[in-house]
Amino acid sequence: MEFVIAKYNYWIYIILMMIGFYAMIAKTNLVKKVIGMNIFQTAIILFYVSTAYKLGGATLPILTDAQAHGHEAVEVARVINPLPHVLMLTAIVVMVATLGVALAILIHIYRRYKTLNEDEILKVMK
Amino acid sequence: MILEQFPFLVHSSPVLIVVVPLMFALLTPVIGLIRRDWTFPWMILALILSTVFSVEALRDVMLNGVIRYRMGSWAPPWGIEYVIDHLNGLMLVLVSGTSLLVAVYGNRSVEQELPGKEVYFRCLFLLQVTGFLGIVATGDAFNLYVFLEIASIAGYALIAAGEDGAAFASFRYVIMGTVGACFYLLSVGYLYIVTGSLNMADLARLLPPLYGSKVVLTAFAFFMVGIAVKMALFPLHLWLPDAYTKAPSAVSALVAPLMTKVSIYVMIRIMT
Repeated sequence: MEFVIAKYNYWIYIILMMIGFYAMIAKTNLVKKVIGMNIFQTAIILFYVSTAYKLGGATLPILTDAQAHGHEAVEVARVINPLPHVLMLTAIVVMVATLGVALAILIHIYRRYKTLNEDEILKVMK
Repeated sequence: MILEQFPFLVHSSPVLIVVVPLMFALLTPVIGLIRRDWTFPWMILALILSTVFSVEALRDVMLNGVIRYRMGSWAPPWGIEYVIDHLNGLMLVLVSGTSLLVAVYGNRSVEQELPGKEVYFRCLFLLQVTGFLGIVATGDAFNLYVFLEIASIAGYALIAAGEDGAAFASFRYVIMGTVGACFYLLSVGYLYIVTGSLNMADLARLLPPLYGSKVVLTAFAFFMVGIAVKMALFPLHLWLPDAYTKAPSAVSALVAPLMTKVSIYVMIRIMT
């Protein structure tokens, strides 16, 4: 139990990822598949952001003038790792672009088949 | 050859190979607003420039060894680095040369199959070539993910433009391709946790002592599944047959020889 609580953000990331995976595989409505895809990607963002966390009250690496120019060195243990956060900014942009393309394709499918149900579309295609 | 008079161009060729098609792609719709038929020579010009830079880079690699370009002159383990060695020098020439040939000879079929949409087709075509070239040229694991997604997203849009049923095939590709790319991203995350580095050369140096670690094994499993989806390796190939047959012919000619092979290149690069 201690193991689960101590790393709860990683457990939540795995649960979210599985919810997204389930929606992508099992749902027949195409919009629900896209939502599942989005949940899946969000889980990965949660994972990356969690990796930046450090025990012992580390905060954001914002340096005031006194720290930057003075002789006081910046303690690495007191600032979180900013790199995963920055990587996720790029990943969010990629996520939005994928979502946009997926929704555009859905509009295209709806105009052609007048439905977004996968089974009905497959029936029409045969 | 000609470029030898401009050592600056040869020195920065790794980044020029990628940036030239990207900038040309962004300007294509603007050119299309002025004159629709100017976009074809515009696209060909971009691909010719890219091919010339690739050939020049390969020649330079063969004569003087590996070229390294530091983005914004940040030193490698922290900054993004573009590396061209013998393997990806050859890959760059192949990718840019193939796309140039496809662009020249696919033009007639594009005008027949996609009347009125040539401008956007050419814009997406150049974006996809940018993605392929970027995947091959970059020496940074996260940068590779971004280019993988650029190539894939342009590919989704291009495939959806095809004949009846292409949209549904493309939708399947969107779902599976996103899962693949996300698994790749997860594996990069796990590797970053253990090594603290995203640079491929640095990863190759830091990883061997850690091969037994569970995190590295997890990362390797995620990486293999992710890249296997992208290269349509046997159990994960379901998106491929529909997407290739329903896509416009020029797109099939571009995606089929390059997308899966570039993924195999990624596999070779990470595993060695």
